[in-house]
Amino acid sequence: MSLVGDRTAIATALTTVDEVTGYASKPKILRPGDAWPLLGPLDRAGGMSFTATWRVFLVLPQDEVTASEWLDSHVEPLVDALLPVGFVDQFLPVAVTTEAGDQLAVQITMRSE
Amino acid sequence: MPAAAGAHIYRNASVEIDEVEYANQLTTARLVPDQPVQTMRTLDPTGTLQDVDTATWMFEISGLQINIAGGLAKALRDADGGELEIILQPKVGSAQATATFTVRALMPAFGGEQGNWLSSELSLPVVGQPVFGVSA
Repeated sequence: MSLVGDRTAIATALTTVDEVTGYASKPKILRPGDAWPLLGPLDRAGGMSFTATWRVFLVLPQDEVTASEWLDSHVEPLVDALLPVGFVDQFLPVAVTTEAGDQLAVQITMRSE
Repeated sequence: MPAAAGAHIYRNASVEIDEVEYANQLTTARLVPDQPVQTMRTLDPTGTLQDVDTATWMFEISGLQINIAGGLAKALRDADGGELEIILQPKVGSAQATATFTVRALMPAFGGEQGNWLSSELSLPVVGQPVFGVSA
């Protein structure tokens, strides 16, 4: 197990999806389609291995209807793109708090080795 | 202690059955051996003899029960008792481990429990031995 390079790999995988730009860490200015991973718990698995749980945040269009429709059409491509780097467990619509106010976003929870 | 190389959370697999990819319908795809061992302990404590049988195999699958065209449940039902060619690759990509083998199709469940995914679970007998290889 090694986490080295995983953030970049997740960012690269996210960028392969249309209208998504992946970053290894949270960008300073958030635009719709921006996505980045945050490491969650590392749980001991078999042998010398750990299950890494990642939360990937993805900023949605800020119009509520557009955001809903955008997510509807991007769930499958996102799961496919992330498959080589993690097993997606959940998509959860959330609000990301910024200085400019809350932004519509989705939190993707996934596990990797 | 160094981390274990090659450890993998099972996902991104390929399960081709008669040249149709069904990985997106399956949650389990596993070749399970049955290999009995017969041991004779002689009067000499150092003279223990062991006879290991040739393994026989079952192909365990579980996943969605899709009963329309394109569904594995329908394909198995249609092929009942017939032979199906399988290529199982636990991780897609080149230079990855593969197993190629033939199974006998069995009837899957039909129907299920209200409020739950329609699912089915089967252990299909493998004809002969799997051939283990590496993907191109």
